[in-house]
Amino acid sequence: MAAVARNTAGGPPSAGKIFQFKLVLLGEAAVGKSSLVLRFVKGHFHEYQESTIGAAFLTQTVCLDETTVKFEIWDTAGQERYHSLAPMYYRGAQAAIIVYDITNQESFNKAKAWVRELQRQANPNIVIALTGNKADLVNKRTVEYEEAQAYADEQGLLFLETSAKSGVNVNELFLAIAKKLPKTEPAGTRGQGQTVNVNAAAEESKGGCCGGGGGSASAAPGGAARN
Amino acid sequence: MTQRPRKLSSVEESRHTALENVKKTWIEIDHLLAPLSADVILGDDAGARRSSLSSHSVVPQIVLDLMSQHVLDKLNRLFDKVISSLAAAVARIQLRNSPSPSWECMDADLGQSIMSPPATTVPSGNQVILLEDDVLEYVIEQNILIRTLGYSIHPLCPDAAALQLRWNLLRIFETLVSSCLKDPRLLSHESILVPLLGLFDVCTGKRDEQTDRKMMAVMNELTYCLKQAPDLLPFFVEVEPEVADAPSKEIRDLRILSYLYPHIHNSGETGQLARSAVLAVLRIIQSEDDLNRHVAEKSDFCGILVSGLCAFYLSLPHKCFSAFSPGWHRINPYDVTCSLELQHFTEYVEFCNAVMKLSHPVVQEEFTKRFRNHFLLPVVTQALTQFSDEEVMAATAYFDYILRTLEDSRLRACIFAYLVGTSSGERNIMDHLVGNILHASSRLSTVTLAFFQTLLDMNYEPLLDYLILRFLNEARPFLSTSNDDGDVFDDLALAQELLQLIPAACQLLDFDLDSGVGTGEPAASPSALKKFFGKKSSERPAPVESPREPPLTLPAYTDYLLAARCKLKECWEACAAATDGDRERDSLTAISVRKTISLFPDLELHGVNFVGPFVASLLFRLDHLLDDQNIYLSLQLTGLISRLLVYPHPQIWNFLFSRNDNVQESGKFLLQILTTLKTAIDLIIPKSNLGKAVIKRTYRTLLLRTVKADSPTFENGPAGSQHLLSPADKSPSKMSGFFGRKSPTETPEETVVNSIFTEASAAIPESVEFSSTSPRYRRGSVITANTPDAGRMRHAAYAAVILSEFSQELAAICQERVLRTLLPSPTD
Repeated sequence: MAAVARNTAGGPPSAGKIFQFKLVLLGEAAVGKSSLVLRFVKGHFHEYQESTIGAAFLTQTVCLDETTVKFEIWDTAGQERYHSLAPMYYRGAQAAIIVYDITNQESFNKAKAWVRELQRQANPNIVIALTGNKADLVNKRTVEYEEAQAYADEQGLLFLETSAKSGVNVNELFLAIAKKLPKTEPAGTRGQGQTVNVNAAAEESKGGCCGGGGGSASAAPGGAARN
Repeated sequence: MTQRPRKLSSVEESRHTALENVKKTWIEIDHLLAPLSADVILGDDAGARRSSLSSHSVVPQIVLDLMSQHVLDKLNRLFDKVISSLAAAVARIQLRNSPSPSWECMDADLGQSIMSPPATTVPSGNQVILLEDDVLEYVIEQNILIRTLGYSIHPLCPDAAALQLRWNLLRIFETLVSSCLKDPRLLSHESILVPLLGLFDVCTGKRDEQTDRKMMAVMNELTYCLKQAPDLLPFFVEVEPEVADAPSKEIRDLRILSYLYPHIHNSGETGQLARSAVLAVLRIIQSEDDLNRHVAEKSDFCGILVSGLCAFYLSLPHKCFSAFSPGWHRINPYDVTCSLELQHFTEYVEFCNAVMKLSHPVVQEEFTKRFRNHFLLPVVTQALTQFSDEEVMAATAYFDYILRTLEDSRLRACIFAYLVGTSSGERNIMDHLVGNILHASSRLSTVTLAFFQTLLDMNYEPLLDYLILRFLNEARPFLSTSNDDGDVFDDLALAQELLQLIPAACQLLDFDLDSGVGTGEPAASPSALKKFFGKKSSERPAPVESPREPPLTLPAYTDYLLAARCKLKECWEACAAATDGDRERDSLTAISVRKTISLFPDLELHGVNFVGPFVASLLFRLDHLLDDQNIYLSLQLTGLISRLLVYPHPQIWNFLFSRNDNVQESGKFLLQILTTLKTAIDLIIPKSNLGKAVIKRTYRTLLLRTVKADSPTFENGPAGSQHLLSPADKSPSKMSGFFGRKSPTETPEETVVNSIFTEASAAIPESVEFSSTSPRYRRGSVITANTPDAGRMRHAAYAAVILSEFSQELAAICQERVLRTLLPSPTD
């Protein structure tokens, strides 16, 4: 989580570009998704983290070479009943962390199902990281590192084993993702020089009655192309 | 890879440089915007007293500047720098103060971007800046936030520029608020709090898609902060101005919640963020009685939540398109993945679940009230009582879906009370739905039956009372109400009797459907029955793996026993858990039995209505199983009847199997109906090799239609594992390859069977629609074995399979009921 702002000698601070990415966490219930986020964003760990209801949302910024990367983290509830809601969260996500528990083989199978689903339904350029959490529980391991690593290599995924409890590899995970994400402005979304249609801005969309799908409004108004 | 800390003096130097850079950037921003007005004054709340506008005959230069894209871009770049520096500072602070994780060795592949322990540099020669609180302190001391907000609301500031300033402020706050965790008191500092609330006010007034979304993101950060430091909550609660002699302050507005109101209905990410923040707030204020009373009684909160439910419900398609696939009878996960509106709706219903779970009792009560008055009564009623069959079918399916998705017991009880709430003289919604069981449209009937299955699965006794028990109690008060009155041997004899209802041709079958048609002699009845009684799973022949077709085996009777055991356990335990207090509170039987019966004059013609229109309709349908019905409807029907019989109440069981000898009326009871059905089927499908072949083919066809459990389109039958025949028609192509296959060794029987099943439409027979205007009992013509009418035989074959499965289901339930009443706590 440390952000060391790099700087070329004598120049202004590297307040170069800020890139914002939507990142979603998926995985079976109780594998440690919320704990991972909490550890990364707030540096906390609670032994008895309450079950996520709906989805929780937090942001975290990391500084990376010349750029600043801001993660918008959508932490989803893992129970099966919420499965059909997942597309609403991973739609438009640039990155996903699929979490399993190294002491729970079933959660690993579920993780593989998530990988398949994302490969079919999500944004084709989505960066996926597979994470075996609870690495601190060495004596209860049932999913071997090599097996998961092999699977990840086969599918082109990032892979790390982490421990939200001890903090091992948590920051590395997010930094690895930050590094892998493309830091160019994709055409048509967050391009430079976007102007806000002043007429549209002046119209107030009161009430917000639903209707129509929600897009991810990540472009800035005015000329702010980033963040 | 870790390096030694640098010397102190150069660290100081780089810190100083960082601060200077931020100062320089801010001065540039300020310089750019200052010409707007030199004397804008902000009051101590977010309202601004603006300096009087002097009348300009010419447009001021600053206004022209701020309308230039070039200038706006420059402004953005400057803010980017500020935000970057802030982000770095915040990260630094968090790092310094978080509990130390165990540090791994730096991974060379991750390069220079890895965080390092404090005071450590990153290698490869570039100078490192360590940012500290100086930057934050500068931001605070210089009132950067208030000043920027002031510029943005200045009357001279053009809209686009103002929007951009608000945008940038939100970005700053997004970063800042997360830093407040270190010292939450920072949040209450005037030069942060005042512009924060002011910004929220302005953004609420001047809506924009992007600022809305960003604001909701900031709100999430804020609620997280408040969770850690709840004593900051009062800063986000507006109170009435103090009145002399008033003992305590009245709450005027819970701002942390009301800022979310405009966004709760949003169907995009803004809405998701808003709802997530709502839940966080409810958690935070859980124990604050005053606040919750205000939320429930004075604020618009519950009203807005329920109107959101209405909005998402009304956006659902009026017709379910997948309803046109045969066998569809309720919303399943596959439907949800195919429909964006259903996903949104589901998410919102889950949100309501979460609200009920997390909120204070007074808020729960208010929400429930509005749920009934503003959603159920106006919106759902209208949907269920439309003219168009297809729309009613959709509405019923959605209602079923809501009932299954809602978790909260109060909301469910509310739904039940709504169902039977009645206005005088008219049918209530429940009666209306019961009426749809005999609807001419078999699809609507099927969906209705699925809805009643859902209702019965709730194990809610007042409902059972309303649908059945009150009729039985009134008309047959002498019916035994105790399970202990029966004779065990009588009960087991009943089980055997039920098994004898299996159609003759079905009794010839082995478990393994892949064995040749010509093999094996038809077994005599008793040994065929032995096959079904107590045959252990291990004795079943191993399924023959065929290269082209999946192995097909019939469920063993022991599977039915196991399923019955589980269902009984679940249902009886749920019923036992209901307390007397619950029963009193939930009594729904205020409506007179006579009155309900009078609302169904057609059924009264039959004389079976004393059992109530619900059961009467089901028995009526069953009576016509051979003649009229759609196979999917039949499956739902038998599933529903067996579900009724799972209930512990002996009156139901005793009535349907008319154990009591004092039967005055000549209604058609279950055993009689089934016996008649079996007789009719046996006349059409002979107990011969041909009959066996026909039945076998029927089983294959139906079993092929079940989808494997691990596929994403898996649909559980209404009765769970029992209904292996529940068709979930997701791949009709599977079947078309199956039909019309002619093997070189085809026997004469197979030829006949093929001709029956490849006639015209090879699909499973849809119903002859139930077209009679008066529901009189009709007997189909008797088919002799010599003149098989292929269509009739096919239809009878499906009926035979259904009856065979149904009989086993009932027999299993019977046996397990006996066990359950005999053994105080049976081991499961």
